[in-house]
Amino acid sequence: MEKDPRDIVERCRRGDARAWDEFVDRYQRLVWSVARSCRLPAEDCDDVTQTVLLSALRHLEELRDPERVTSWLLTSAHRESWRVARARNRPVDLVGDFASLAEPSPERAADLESMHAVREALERLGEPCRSLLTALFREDSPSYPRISAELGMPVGSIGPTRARCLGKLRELLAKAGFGTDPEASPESPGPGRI
Amino acid sequence: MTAPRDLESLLARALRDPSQAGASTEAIAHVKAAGRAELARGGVPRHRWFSELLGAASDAVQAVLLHDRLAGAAPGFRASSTLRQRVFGAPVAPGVELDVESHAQGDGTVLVRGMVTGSETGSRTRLLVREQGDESGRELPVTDDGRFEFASRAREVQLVASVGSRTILVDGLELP
Repeated sequence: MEKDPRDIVERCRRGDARAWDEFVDRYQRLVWSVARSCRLPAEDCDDVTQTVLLSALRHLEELRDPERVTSWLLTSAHRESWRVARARNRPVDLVGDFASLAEPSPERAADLESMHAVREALERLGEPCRSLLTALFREDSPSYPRISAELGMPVGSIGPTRARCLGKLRELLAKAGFGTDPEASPESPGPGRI
Repeated sequence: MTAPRDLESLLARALRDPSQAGASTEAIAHVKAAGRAELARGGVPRHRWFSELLGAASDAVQAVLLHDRLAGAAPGFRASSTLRQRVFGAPVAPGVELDVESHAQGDGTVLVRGMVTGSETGSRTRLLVREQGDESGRELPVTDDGRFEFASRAREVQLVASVGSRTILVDGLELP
């Protein structure tokens, strides 16, 4: 997950099957989330994901700026979701004012892109930060003793490690172009207090 | 990009939101296998026709046009769209619009009429169309005021409009 998108796209263009696997691993959740946010059932979301990713593979040559692959996939996923919903006669959750139904609203696109960026940054964090933050934020009010037992980390070090890991995560997001609000809780209690 | 204002709430949403669950293991395995098979058949398709045009353009614009299906519609039934151009999500080429109308002919053929507007005075407009199964594509005649017309039996066509120094790629015009 540490690869630059340009590197992955370029290797896919050269026919590198391993790069294609990385591409799928990296972007399948993003595409799936677009379909899901259009209120498609899970099986349709799977279909949309497969269609969009394969279509992306076939059109990688036309992608002039691989840095934009995320927004490219967002637009393609939204279009395909809309098409599937229409074919199934399902209502589509069309939020916002946009000229073309084939494009996600800027707010929705930004929200999905932000969550994708956070997940990518979390993958890049490495251990123990990745496991700790996942354990702390995957549910409401997690138990520190349970996390301590799961991760083999002393209860007393969870708090300081948590703050350090969030700082690293914030740095990674900033490097990726996602600024964060420094007053928005680096030291706040968060969901993991006992 | 919109800044995540609260990292912790965003992290919680990214990990808990059902929309972030991701595709099933089977779907992931299938798409990986399908992609590998395509690569084994010769790699990523080289759309030289598009690549040459896009490569020469200063602004490559991808737009998407979806038409209502007209299957079974009476002759003359019409669907229309106005494109909003974007470069893979980023709005560019302000003021340039491509209006397209599809007219069901009743015999399985659809007559597509369109017009490119907003281009600079005197700039040349070129339009190329590629139908399913026709990788090479063909260039359509465009009038001085940007009008064009073609008939197709394909369910999906791709259009590239070159307006002066700008290029508009219309991907996936869905026909009945």
